[in-house]
Amino acid sequence: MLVACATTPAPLLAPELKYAAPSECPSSLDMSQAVGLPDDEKKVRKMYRNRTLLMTGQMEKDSQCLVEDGGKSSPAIVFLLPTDLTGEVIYAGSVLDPNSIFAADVSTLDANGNTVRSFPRESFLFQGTQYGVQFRPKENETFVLIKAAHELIGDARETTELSVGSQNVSLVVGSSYGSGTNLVGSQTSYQRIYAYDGAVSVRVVFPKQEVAE
Amino acid sequence: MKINKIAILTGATVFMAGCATKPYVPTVYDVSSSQVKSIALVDDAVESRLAANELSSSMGTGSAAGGLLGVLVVAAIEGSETSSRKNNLAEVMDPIGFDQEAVFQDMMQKKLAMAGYADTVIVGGEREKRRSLKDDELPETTADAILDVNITNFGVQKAKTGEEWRPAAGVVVRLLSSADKSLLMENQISYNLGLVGAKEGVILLQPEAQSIGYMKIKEIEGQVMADQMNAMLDEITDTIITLLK
Repeated sequence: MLVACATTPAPLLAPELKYAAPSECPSSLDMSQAVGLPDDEKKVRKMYRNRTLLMTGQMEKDSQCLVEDGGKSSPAIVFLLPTDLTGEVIYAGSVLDPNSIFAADVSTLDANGNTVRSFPRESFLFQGTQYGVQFRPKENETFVLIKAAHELIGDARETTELSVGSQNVSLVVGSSYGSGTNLVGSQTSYQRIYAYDGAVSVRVVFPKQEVAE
Repeated sequence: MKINKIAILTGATVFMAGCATKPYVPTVYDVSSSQVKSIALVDDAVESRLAANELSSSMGTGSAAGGLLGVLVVAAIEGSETSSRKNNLAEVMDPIGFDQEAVFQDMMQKKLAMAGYADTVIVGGEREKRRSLKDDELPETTADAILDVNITNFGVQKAKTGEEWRPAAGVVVRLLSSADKSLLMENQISYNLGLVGAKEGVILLQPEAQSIGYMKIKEIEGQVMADQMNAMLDEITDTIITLLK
């Protein structure tokens, strides 16, 4: 039952260690293309009820791209932050894959697309299923920009992780019948390579809001 | 019919842990708007009795997996083994004088100084309960803020019989304003805990690939164990500093 809420495993990706832009990349992204909450109203209502808003994107060869100051191009995506919340915490970064991690670089932009904050590498954390940063948005932070951190590409993160699954068991004891759950620990080793491809996400969690949604 | 009752209770516990719908919302420290220049560290951060847990559990091995009980089968055998493991660990570590609290405080004081905070004093005494302090339990201090770190399940852990031992600990770290006791920062860190790590938002630290070993705890050299625990405390304190920046 513990594994019941895990997402369906995605097919394994070969970490992409080189990046060739699909076309000539612009020096700034079109903010009207920013990824927001899904169109499905029912889904969004459920997200608000569960106090977790999730926006996702996939970095691929033909994803949007961006030319940076040094002339290097990078896959890039912008997410639009919700404005109707108080006390929310944002997690922004890459979603861990069994053998790769998108080498995420995260910054926030104002409504005009100008950088407000760039998060330094040492503020990146592994949190749950995400590699990224946690922050409380400031008033002028409208968008989150995720692009590639070139200096990380090809580095590996090796871990040995423990997890727990459960197993239903039953046993007849004399004339009575008992059933229950055994916890089964397992240990798995991972070698995750920082790459130019992979899933990214912005997760917004928030405490109970004062005003009814 | 006692066995049935336990089965139902624990079944429910496992289910809730699996599909919690309300998210964990940490309090992220906003250093740019903070006036904190000096920090007082609350004493007795690390649980004094070292833990030696195995994640797999069935009825009777209550301490494994952070208190979640499994049910049935190998009960009696594993139950007695778990408590003797802790005693064995103490037997290995006591002779070399390993003091996790002293190591933690020393690291924390040095790293806070390097991060630019004024000399960190240790405040408070022994905790009555192994949990974060309540507002009225916070010690008085002249420092700007109080750092309350609670490290539980500090010790070693393995997935199941036959797997390797690695260090593990669970951490709740809070920074409170000493003037009005308001919460400035709260985050949770899981060092190789496995189960707690499943919760989104909890910071996950993983030990290096090298393990302590497969052998029985009694046969592990104390210094080898101490080195790994020091490495764990080093990473935990680094992360706490990251959260304060």
